[in-house]
Amino acid sequence: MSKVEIAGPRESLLAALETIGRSGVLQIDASLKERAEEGAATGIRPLALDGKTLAERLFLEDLKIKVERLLELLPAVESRESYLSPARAINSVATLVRKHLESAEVQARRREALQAELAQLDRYLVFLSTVQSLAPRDAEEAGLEYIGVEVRDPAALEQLTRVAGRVLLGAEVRTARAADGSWFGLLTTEKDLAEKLKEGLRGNKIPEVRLPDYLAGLPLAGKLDAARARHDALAVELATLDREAKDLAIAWRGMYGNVLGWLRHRLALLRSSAAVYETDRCFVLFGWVPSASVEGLRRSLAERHGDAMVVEEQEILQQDLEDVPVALRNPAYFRPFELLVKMLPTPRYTSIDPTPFVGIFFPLFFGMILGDAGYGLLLLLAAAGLVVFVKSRRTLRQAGQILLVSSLYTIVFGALYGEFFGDIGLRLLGLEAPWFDRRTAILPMIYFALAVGGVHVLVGLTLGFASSLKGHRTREALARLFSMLAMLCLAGVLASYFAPVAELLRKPLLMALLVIAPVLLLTGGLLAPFELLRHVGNVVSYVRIMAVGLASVLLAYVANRLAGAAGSALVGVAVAVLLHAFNIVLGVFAPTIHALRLHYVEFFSKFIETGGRRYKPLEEAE
Amino acid sequence: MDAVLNWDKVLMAFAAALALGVSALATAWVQSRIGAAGAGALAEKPELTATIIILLAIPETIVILGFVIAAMILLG
Repeated sequence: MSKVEIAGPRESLLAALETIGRSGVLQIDASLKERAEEGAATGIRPLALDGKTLAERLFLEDLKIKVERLLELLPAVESRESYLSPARAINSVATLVRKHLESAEVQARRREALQAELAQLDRYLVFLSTVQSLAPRDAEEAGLEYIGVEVRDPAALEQLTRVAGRVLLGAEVRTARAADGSWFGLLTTEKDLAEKLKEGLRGNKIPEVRLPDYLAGLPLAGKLDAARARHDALAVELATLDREAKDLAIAWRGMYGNVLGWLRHRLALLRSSAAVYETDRCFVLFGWVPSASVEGLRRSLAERHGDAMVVEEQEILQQDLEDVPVALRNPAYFRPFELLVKMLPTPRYTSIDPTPFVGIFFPLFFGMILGDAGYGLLLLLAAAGLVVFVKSRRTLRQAGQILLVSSLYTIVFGALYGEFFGDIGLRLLGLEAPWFDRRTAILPMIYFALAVGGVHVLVGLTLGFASSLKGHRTREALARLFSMLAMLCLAGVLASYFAPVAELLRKPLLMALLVIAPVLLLTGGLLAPFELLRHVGNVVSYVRIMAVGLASVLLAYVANRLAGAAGSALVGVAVAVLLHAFNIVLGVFAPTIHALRLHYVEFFSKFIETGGRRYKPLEEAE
Repeated sequence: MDAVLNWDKVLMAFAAALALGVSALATAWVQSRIGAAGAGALAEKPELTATIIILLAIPETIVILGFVIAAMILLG
């Protein structure tokens, strides 16, 4: 990353920011000026925006709010791509958006009211169709009145009967259960006494179902018909509203999406001018550019603005190191693995980018754990599908690329372990394990996993040593170096118990450990032995590679055994497919989680210093 | 003689089962606590996904160590 200072005529500021934004490489950092040495940048003051720029910013901010609100109100439908250049037609767009927003808001309010009334009508319809069967025949002709009540708790039915009987001896109570499970009651009483009964119900907190005014005075059957007619009319109106909103969205959504993109970009430029400084005649801005892109930025500014623009690279000071933004830049093969690194807080600029190491070790661990050629082939097909067909969703595509590499390793280890859908390869095709059979070779697999863990942890410690040297922290670097040597000696001593050749080395290694121990205490402090113990614990943690792998192979083995014991070929195949499918799903998740954990906890802790700032160039400023 | 040998095997199997079983229970208990707290944290801050995965995976070392001890008892 390079620290740059860009200066040019004050009147060309917005045009220069436009060019810089298009190049998409500069992250403006006003704090660089604050950290600049006293007297190094005299006569420079924060830029005071002129009235015209301020007015433009306010106008565009207001317009952005309106466009966002309109896009929120319009239904999400496929619409035509817009080729309008918003910069040329921004005033017309502002007039148009006001009109469209007004109409969309009226529509939204009406839709809300209709939906609320329809929901209420649905409830009335349930009530009316339930109580229709309860109403006594000819009660209306006899001058009787109905009172409907809703009972939420069936236990309250008894209370309803009691209240009705106590308030009014003549009231008749009938109850029924609606189709949706709720209970309704219908009280029939003389018209003169109805009000007294209603008061009694209110006093006992039994809610009366109050029908809308337009249903008042109608007989019960008429009420149901009128409610149905109203429901249908409202549904038609709602459908019309939806159609109109959809038409509006099809016609204008594309254009407003385009306008919103332009507005965001333009406002990002205008906002970034708040981080710009000025002299009497010039603007000055400070920021960060990837070193490889400085020349390109200089060239594009010179092409558009001539010699008036100056781009100057400055020395990165010790006090700047904390704030240098971090951009992960890796070769194409490793780039998808940045996805796994970005899940953690950004490493500091002085730290080492772990992506290449994740790119090497993650698929290796994945393959070692899953290690089945049949599963690997299926995953390879799925990953190839993701890579080929998913173009628009970058994260999913990157995950597909990681899975593609991991599945290749799975096939390789599957071939070494002699596994093809468990032991199907052995039973049907006679494939023997050329290396070792994981189901029986428990101890060799543990040693293998420990050896891989030892290498991984040592690579981490080496990177930590390099990182400390890079940051000029000599004592820390020495502590890491001696930790590494102590780990190597420990590994050698342990190996001497298993390999007869190494037995001769045991004594020299123990002597070396005796020499290393005091140096480690001197450089790493009193906690150094605990730190060493943690490294040993980290290496033991790699046994999970063998343990999770063993669980996976045994599950595949059980799937085949169960399928064989099914008695019928069809049932056997179904059982095998089901269990293997389950094992494949587990086989994607478990190795991923465990391989990630081995990186995040065991490996990264050796050398990564988090707390870095992510590089966000001007184009991404919004 | 045979009976003594069988008792040795039974005790070894029991010790191995204890080493793995107790460490598995310990891991499960710790993970249930971390998982519940992690799910709550994730609901508010989805960007903590990786940190929660790490926190959730840390106690697994207990059961891995239990497994190593069990393997050493039975095979070592």
